[in-house]
Formats: sequence, C-alpha cells, structure tokens
Amino acid sequence: MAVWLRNNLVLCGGVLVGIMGAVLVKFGNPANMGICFVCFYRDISGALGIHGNPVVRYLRPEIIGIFLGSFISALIFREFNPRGGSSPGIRFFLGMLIMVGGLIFLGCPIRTIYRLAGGDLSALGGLLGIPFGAYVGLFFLSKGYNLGKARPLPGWVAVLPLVLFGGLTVLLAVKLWWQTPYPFFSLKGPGSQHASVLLSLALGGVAGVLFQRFRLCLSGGFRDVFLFNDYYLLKGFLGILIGAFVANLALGLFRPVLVGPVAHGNFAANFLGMGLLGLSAVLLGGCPLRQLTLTSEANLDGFVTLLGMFAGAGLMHQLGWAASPAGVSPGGWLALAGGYALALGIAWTFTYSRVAARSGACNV
Amino acid sequence: MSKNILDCRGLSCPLPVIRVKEQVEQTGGPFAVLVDTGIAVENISRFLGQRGISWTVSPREDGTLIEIMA
Repeated sequence: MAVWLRNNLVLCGGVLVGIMGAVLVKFGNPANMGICFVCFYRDISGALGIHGNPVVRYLRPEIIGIFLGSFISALIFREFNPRGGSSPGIRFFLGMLIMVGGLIFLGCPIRTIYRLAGGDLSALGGLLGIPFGAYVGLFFLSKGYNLGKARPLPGWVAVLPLVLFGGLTVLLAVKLWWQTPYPFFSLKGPGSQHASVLLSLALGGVAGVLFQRFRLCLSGGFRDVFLFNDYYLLKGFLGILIGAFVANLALGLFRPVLVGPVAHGNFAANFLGMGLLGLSAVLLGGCPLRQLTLTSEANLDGFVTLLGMFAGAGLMHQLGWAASPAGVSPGGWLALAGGYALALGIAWTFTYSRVAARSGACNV
Repeated sequence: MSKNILDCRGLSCPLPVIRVKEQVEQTGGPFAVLVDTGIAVENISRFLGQRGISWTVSPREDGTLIEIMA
C-alpha cells in the first residue's frame, strides 16, 4: 500500500487538481476553464492593458494563488534558489510562441484535459498535438540542443518575481475596493466569468503547492514516455482527467458535444496549435505551468518566459490573430506557420550551430 | 568516490537525465553526476530505478551528487 501510494502520489495530486477545476467552473469560471494557464495569462495581459480585446480581461486570482502556494512550498522544501542566464532572450521569444500555439487551440495542456473531461471532443486534436510537438522537440534535444547553463544569481534578483506578483495583488485589491477603471476587467465574455476572488485565490494556492511538489508537466509527461518509457508524469494528467470527469458528472457540468464552449472545431488548427505549444515547451524545458513554478523558485529564466507569454498574448489579441469560437483567422494561420518556422529555427540553431555548447554543457 | 563527475548543474530539464542516459548507454561504468535541482535528482533516480541500476544520492555544498554504479 505504501509503495503504491508513493508511486501514485502524483495521480492523487492530479485527481485533486481535476476536482478543483470543476469546482471553479461550478462557481463561475468559464466552461472547462477551472485552471488554464494560457487563458489566464491572456486575461492578465488584457487586464494590464497589454492587449485591448474587451472580452478577455481579468486579473485571474488563481495565478496569484498558484504563485504564492508554490513559492511557499519552494521555501519550505529549500528549492528557492535564485538562478538564470540560460539564453533569456530566446526564452522570452519561445514564451511568445507558446502563446501563439495556445491561443490557436484556446487552452494549455491542463485545459485540454479539462475540455475532454467536460465532454468537448474538439480537444482531441490538441491532445494529439502535444505529443507530436514534444516528439519534434525531443529530436533536437537528443541531437544536442541546449540553451546554455543557468547560473546562481545574487539574492536581490529573486525579488523581481515577487515585485510582479505583489503588484498584481495590489492592483486586484485596489480594483475590488475602489472599483477603479484600471486594471481593466471584462464586462462580458469569458473575462467576465469568474469564481469569487477568495475561492480562486485559495484553490490556486492549494494547486500551487501540488504543482511545485509533483512537478506536473504534460509536455514533460510525453517527453518521459518517448525518452525513457516512463509514465510517472503522465499519471498526474490521468489523475486530472479522472478527477475532473467525476466532479463534472457530480456537479452536472458534463456535456458531450463535438465542439464545447470557448473552443472551435478545426482539427488541424487544434492539432498544430498544441503541437507548437508542445514543441516550444520542450525547447524551454517546461510547459506554461512549469514556467510559473520555476518563477516561484526564483528561476529568472522561467520569469522571463512568463513575461514572454504575457507579451505573446498581447500580440496575438492586439493583431486579432488569436482564435475564437468562430475559428482561426487568416492572420492566425500565418502566425501559426511563422511560429513553427521560428521555433524550428531556434531549435536548429541551438542544436547544430553551437557545437561547443554540447561538449561544454557537461564536463566529464 | 568515482573519478568521473558529469557536471550537469544549470541545465534545463530534462537535459541532466538525457546526459546520464547517454553516459549509461554509451560508456557505462561507475560515474557520478552533479546536479542542482530537485527535479533533476528525481528524474535521474526514476530513470536509474527503471533500468535496475543502483545509485546513491548525497547533498553537497555546490549541489547534489548522484553516484551511479552501472
């Protein structure tokens, strides 16, 4: 029993995250969007005014809660180490590409699971796209792809992520207390649908601890299967699927349809969008969720990636390239094609043009 | 203490475990790997456990040393 529990702790953590997602939807979050990193970064980006799409703007307290929960967990378990400097510029850019892919599919790996668990069959395209992208990324990793080593940084640098999240918390509090016009909150559309701030914060905090402890990462899950035939990380996502599915059934949220709410049914776009997200995530060493936990551990490379994701969301919505339930715009297809070209270009450059990086990466 | 130490500190996930896998499959022999993140320790331990290779983990000033008996 003890051995089973140790091998399947990640499954139990996943079940909890799945249930929390369904509960957040029940109490107001958009359908199948209990927690979605791509969607929530986009909403925060809109609330801050980085993009002007009036229907997707809200300072999602879940993200603040997840940051706090995983920050406290990192402190307790002594995993709070300021470090960075592994090609931050390239990471910022890959963060933007994560959002290009995610906003074509309309979700992150976790929302892919939530969408399936809510009965949205169009999420299957995305679910198949993640291993495709991860596989392409792994090809480069096995050939020597490397963005360089992160190094220890002086302690004061660790304050930067705290300043950002402290600032977001203050903005949220100011908005709630005084009803200020800034930060911008949507009056209609997905941005206007949300659970109460305290519930979002609290469940986000619990999820943050779970994410930090269990290192949940769906692109990493597929990566481990391809690399080592290891299913440990994937079990976490199986847990999310089971937890969300059962909780959706219990709360009356399960509705099997071809195309669910806040989604579109273009299979190719869903597949290629999540493929681009998976590829960029493997090139970064972690999916949109991992980048936030890395940030909370004072990994400045993760922080830079997070800023890149805010910028990417801003660009996609400002230019009207993000997909919507109406489908993918011509600009969206262009962004997707350009995203693949850039991601593959980065992968190729850091695999073949920097031969020295491979031998220098691990000194035997 | 093995002579060969693979310094994988600062590498993004999952490069440390990929380097260990390469070393195990290509050169073999007892060696050690130095890492600086908890996730690298976990990934490498999972990989070694799955291959039936025994290993020891010892925390140091400058990271965590994993000695591999392969």
